[in-house]
Amino acid sequence: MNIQLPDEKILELSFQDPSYFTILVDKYKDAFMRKALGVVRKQEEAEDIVQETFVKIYKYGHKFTKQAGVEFKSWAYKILMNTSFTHYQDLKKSFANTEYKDPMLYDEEIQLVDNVDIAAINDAKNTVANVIGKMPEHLGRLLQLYYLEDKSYENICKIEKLSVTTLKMRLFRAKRLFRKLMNEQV
Amino acid sequence: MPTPTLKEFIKNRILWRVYFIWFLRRMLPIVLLQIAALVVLVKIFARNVFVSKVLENVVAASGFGYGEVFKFLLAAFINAHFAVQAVIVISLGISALIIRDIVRALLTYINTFRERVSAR
Repeated sequence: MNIQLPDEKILELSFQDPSYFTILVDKYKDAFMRKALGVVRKQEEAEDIVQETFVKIYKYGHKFTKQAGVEFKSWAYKILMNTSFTHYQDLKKSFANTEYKDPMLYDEEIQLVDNVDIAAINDAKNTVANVIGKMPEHLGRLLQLYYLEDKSYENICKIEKLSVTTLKMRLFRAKRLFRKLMNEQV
Repeated sequence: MPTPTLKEFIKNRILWRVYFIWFLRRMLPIVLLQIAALVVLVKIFARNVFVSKVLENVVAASGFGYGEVFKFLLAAFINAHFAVQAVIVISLGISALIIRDIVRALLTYINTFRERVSAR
């Protein structure tokens, strides 16, 4: 494929002619699959997530406006991650509603592996909450708003009364501090 | 471990859903509006023209060949009221637009599922 146009332009063109969307699907499908598999660890679930993500990108694409520092790619990945986590939450609920079967009677090795993953993710969530709690309040709050509550740069700037540049700088510092505290905790 | 890839049928499913969204957003409202306008025009036409008599005359003229049918329809159009002439012209125009939109929807459908070689 000879792709010369930026992704934003291709998305815009696809609103007139949906065949252009094929370019975006071809460009991101495998990377999205890898990312989704990293969250749900099941091929079928990851396929569903990727499918939903592309449809959401097309459906809400008209809301995407290119801002300084916000690329189509990062916007698309944010949708992918949100969809993955929502899907993961649904999976978790369906596991909770499933009657427990004794592994001695039912050979359900795969489900056991998934349950281990869920426990690990719950642990990770607690660890993240702990680390954010140890951070200075203004930095912790920014991480919370951006990564856990999925607020956009624009919304965070309004809430915190900051410029985009300051926000990006603080997020960078917050991430660096988070990484450091995380390493200390581990 | 092999690199995970998206199966072709999943890609087609995505493109089908994208096409469906495009159709609902861009084509359906226009086509529905055109059909509604056409229905109103046809009702006005039916109220002002005795269609069964015109058809009887067409059948009678058809005995003398297609040329006579055309001549009869042209004469009927020329001698009709201005309002009826306007309704006929506008209806033909809207019909042409509907056909154009249906063809466009079909071509877009075909293009969406065909490999696009380059983005110009």
